[in-house]
Amino acid sequence: MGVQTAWRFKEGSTPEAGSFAPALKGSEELQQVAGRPTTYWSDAIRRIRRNKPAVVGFWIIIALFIVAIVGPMVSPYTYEDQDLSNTFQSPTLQHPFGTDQLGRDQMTRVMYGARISLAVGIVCAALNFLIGVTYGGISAYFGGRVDDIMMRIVDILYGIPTLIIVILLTVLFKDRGVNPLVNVFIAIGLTYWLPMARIVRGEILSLKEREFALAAKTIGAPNNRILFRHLIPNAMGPIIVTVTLEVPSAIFTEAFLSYIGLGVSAPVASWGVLASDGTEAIRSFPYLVLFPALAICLTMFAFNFLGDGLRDALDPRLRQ
Amino acid sequence: MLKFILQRVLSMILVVLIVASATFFMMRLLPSGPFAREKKLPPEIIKNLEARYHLDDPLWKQYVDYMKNLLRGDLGPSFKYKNRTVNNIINDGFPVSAALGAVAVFLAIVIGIPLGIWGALRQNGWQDNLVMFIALLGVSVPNFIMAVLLMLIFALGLHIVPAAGWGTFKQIILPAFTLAGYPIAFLARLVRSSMLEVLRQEYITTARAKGLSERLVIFRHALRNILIPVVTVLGPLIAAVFTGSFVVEKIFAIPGLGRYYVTSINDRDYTTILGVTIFYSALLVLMNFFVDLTYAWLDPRIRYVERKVS
Repeated sequence: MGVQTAWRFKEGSTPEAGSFAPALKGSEELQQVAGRPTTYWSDAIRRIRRNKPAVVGFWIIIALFIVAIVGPMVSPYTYEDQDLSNTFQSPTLQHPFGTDQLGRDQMTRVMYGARISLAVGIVCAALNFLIGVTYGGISAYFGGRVDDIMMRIVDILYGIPTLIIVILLTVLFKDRGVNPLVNVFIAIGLTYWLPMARIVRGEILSLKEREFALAAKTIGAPNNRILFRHLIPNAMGPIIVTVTLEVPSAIFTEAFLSYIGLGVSAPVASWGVLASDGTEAIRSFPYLVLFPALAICLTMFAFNFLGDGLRDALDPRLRQ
Repeated sequence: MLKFILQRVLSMILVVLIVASATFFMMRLLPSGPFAREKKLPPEIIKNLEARYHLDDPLWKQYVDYMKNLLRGDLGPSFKYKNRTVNNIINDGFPVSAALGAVAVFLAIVIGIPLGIWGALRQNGWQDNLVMFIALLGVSVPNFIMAVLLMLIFALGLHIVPAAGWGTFKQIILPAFTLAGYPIAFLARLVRSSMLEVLRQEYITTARAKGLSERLVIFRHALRNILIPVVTVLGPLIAAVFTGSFVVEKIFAIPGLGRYYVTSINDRDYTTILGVTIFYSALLVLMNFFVDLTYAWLDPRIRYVERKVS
């Protein structure tokens, strides 16, 4: 046992009492006792690695992406190939998830649906990120009257159920002939940024009083540089948590919209459409609704598990 | 307190008026018009229809008329059903939705809160892990999926309850649990974390030091203090129950307002969409107001502090 192990024991293994020994004065080992400094991010990564559900969630998400990208490519069927002699087949080796009312391979359709759902989740979370961070940042940074007005608007929007706003926007754009998928992006992207704006505002309000912000100001940095280069990067922890948790709610909303007939249209199928079609036939062919339903649940779990883990790791104050 | 109430009432009215105006113009912006059908109607008929619903008036006059009627509580005729007004539709559908929603909120409170307390008292034990897992399940499974899964298992698989319909007690069970799923999970998580926070407070140590039984400490001292965060989330939870009813009522064939709303959206029945949207917003704003009153009453500190958004 070297001397340095007395000070820097490995994580998870408790050093035995006897392995502690004073370091020799002037020895090189004394120089090493500090070890590498723990930064915010390395600490967060260490904590998230120890959170099993979060790690599982992370790998499920990776697997979902691979299936969504590769699955439809290697499948012998496409999402729109009809085979009218093989409608409503129970799951078999040829069609592991069965076939639907037009004889389309359900597994291919579910894998294709993953593309749509994941795209919706990511694009909408990105839009919410852009709008929410900018809005909340500006509101907090300029403060005073600007802040009052901007937050009053947020309060008013908060008073209306988000889903109703999304539905109205979807109806509005759908009837103007906007591509249904783009429509879903717009409707969700324009509505779900409210929590992000509030969280960013809260963070920036306290960060802008800190010394580094003052320092940036005294050397004459312009407002937008202070806000976007100094303040917002320091609020990244809570922002990342919010983005991760926004992904499943966007996926849910898209599935919901498709379910009530406002989402993507045939023959393209998102999970919501598949679940809706499956529900129609639930009494006779329950497997049709089962697989898209499980796919939605699995995705939501994975993102929520990861989001929860990230929250514990990145935002100790919000730890639940 | 009076000033607080007055301020809130004014802002409530403002919110509803903004929602009403925004929705009004949104509906008028729709290009297809309420009488666009598969089969084109002759121009004379369209003209007559537009005259009947005053759609030939200038837009500002339509808006002023609508707002005037709205203030009297008249939401106008439905475009789709000739002999029904939007008020009729709300009168028919809302009691059903409200009954279902009330059962769901009740379930959420009597299941969610004890689950959260149980988890907190056994922090990091298997009970706690179980509660947190159930809670994560509840927030992760979308309500329409929950509806379908519950229906598959309990109605079509085990035949314990009927799959759909409305009117008997047994028919309420599945939709009520579906609607309660998310609130149960949400409340359990919230109660657990608030409870953990409260149990670390000094007055709890004091209560224990006085030699009070654990039961008294939990129910008399801790529980009261977790009620405030619980009450504050009741507003959003009620909203979740409303919007949840859109699909749940459709799946379980329940003649409630949520189902009418979805039908009116698919039919592009603009006046009904408009009227029901205003109704929902007014209801939600009112609920939030009651929630605020309740917690101002529960926690005297809130009453005297000037309200600033944190």
